[in-house]
This record gives sequence, structure tokens and C-alpha cells, in this order.
Amino acid sequence: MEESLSKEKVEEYLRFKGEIRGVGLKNYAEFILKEDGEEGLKELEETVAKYGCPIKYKELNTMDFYPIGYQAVTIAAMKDVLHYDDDKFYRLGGFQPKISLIIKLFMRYFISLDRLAKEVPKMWRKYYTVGKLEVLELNKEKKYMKLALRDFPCHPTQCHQTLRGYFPSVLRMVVKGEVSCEETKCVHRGDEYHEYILRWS
Amino acid sequence: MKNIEEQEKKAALLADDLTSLESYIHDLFYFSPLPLSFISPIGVLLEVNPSFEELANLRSYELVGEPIEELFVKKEIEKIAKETFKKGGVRGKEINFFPKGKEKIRVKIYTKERKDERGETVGYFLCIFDMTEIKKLEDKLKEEIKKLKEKLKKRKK
Repeated sequence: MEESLSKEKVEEYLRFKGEIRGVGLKNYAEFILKEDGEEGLKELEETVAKYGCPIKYKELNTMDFYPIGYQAVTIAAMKDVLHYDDDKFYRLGGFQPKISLIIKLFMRYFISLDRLAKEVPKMWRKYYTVGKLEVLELNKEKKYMKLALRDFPCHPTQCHQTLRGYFPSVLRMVVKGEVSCEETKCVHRGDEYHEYILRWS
Repeated sequence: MKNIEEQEKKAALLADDLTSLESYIHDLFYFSPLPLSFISPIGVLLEVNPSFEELANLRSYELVGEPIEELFVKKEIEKIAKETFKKGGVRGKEINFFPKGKEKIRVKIYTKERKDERGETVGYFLCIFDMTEIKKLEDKLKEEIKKLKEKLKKRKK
């Protein structure tokens, strides 16, 4: 899948089936405001509107649902207009759980790895109406967790970078210390689902 | 058909109520002039308000997900956490707080344990009261009292 923004690409993204919670899109805006200020966000909004997808991020309702394609459009626009590189998208992923309202709703599960692992599918459902996130394996002795994300339409940057930053950021709320994350399987590379291995020290 | 419509109406109402509640809680938490935070049972900061950010001299995204012991003496905050889980909370314990890039400050800590619907501890709220100005006044008062005592001594002679 090509990553640059164009009218055809936007139409393709908007055909993605499923929805995302407003809070998810607003988190992108929060990061842009932090990194590039109001000017950056304004530039992004003008660009996506130009391509037929007028999103006003501050006006989005936190708890409402919006087309999941908006997320892919946002990411493509961030690459094209704000020139975000892989590292920035990775940091964006790490930033999101720290400000997310949804994460706050699940704080009561951050008491143990077992509890978190059990609630992972529910947490995903709070953000998206599509896709299934599950813990394939949790090994506390060897300190790793394997995640599988199925049936989730997304921009390649989201699975390669943003989620790779997001998952360890959440896990760090349950395990103290450094957490690394590697995408070991990817739908964009022909695999059946996205797979991630998180390791902690 | 009517049942589905009624359910949809109820769902819409609930979503509306949820948004209102979220907005209220957010405004209350963010309005508080007292530094407030929520800490997980293993001692990780899960939420902070703007007053806490200001006191710590760090932004929320630099604080959330980090161990609380980065801001206190490890043994002291561990003792506070233990007492919180044993007694339900602590009130007015004085300890040192270490904001980033600034001198340590003397603070009073207030905590309240939080449990879920199953009665399991899910963390605790931590509120900080900055004692800096009070300590300064205290020191000034002690100094004035000392001077007065010395004056009285001289007069008696």
C-alpha cells in the first residue's frame, strides 16, 4: 500500500470498515500540538479538508465513534505535511496512553500482568469497533508477552511504528523498567495478522 | 422494532450522560489548585493534574508511566504506600519532594486507597500540600521569638 496522501488514497482509507473513538483521534491532535503547536494542527486540518476529509480534531466528541479511515488519513497527512518520520510516529505511540481517557478507564486493571492480559481485548474494544487484540502468550519468568492483532484495517505506519510505541507504553504502567516491542508479523507483509513481542527487564 | 429503537435511545442517553460525567470529572481534577495524582499498587504514576505538573516541574506525559519514587526518597514513599494499603490512607505525613531541576521541598502527603467493585486495591490517590511558605513563616517566627527573648533578657538585667 502506498503511503502518500492523494484523493484516491483518502477514498481508499475512508472505505475501511469500522470505527474509532473520538478520543483516539484527539490524541493525535494533542501530540501535534505538543510538537508543532497550533500552526501544525491547522496545517494538518487544512490538508485533510483539501482531500475531502474535513476533520476538526478539537471539535471531535471524546466518546463518539468516527470512521476508522480518519486515522489512516491523519497518519498519511502527518507524514506528507508535517514530515513526521518513523521515530516520531513511534514516540506518538508512546505518548498516547499517557494522555488517553480510555486508559484511565482501565487503570483498575493495571495491578498485575495477568489482569492486564485478561482485559486487553476489552480495552481494544473501547477504542475500536473493529479488530481483535489478544495476548497469545505471557511468560513472566522469561519476561515477555506476545500479542496478536487481527482484522484491523490500518495505515502501515500505524502497525510498524505507532502501535510498536503504544504497547510498551501501556505495559510500563504494570511493570517497572524498560519495555521493548518488536513487530514480528505484519498483514502488510503478507502475514495473517499483526504480531508483537514485548520484552521487559 | 420498537424495542430496538428504545434501546438505541437509552444507549444515546447513556453516552450523553457519560460524556457529561467525564467532562465534570476532568474539570474538577484539572481545576484543583492542590497537586493530585493517582498511583498504581506497584508505584507507577497513572494520572496527574496540572498543579502536580507545576510542582514537579514536569509535563504529564513525562510523569505518567514513571515510578513515583523518582519524585521522593524511595524508602519514604514506600512506607507511605504500605501504610495507605494497611489503613486506607494517610493524612498529613511530612516528607521531602524532589521536583525536576529544582531544590527539594518539604511537603505534607495525603493519600486514599482506591478499590474496585471486587474490593481489590487498584491504587491510591495522592495529594500534596507544599509546606515551603509555611516553613518560611515558621522559621521567621522562630527568629522573631528568639530576638524577643533576647530583648527581654537584656531588660531584666
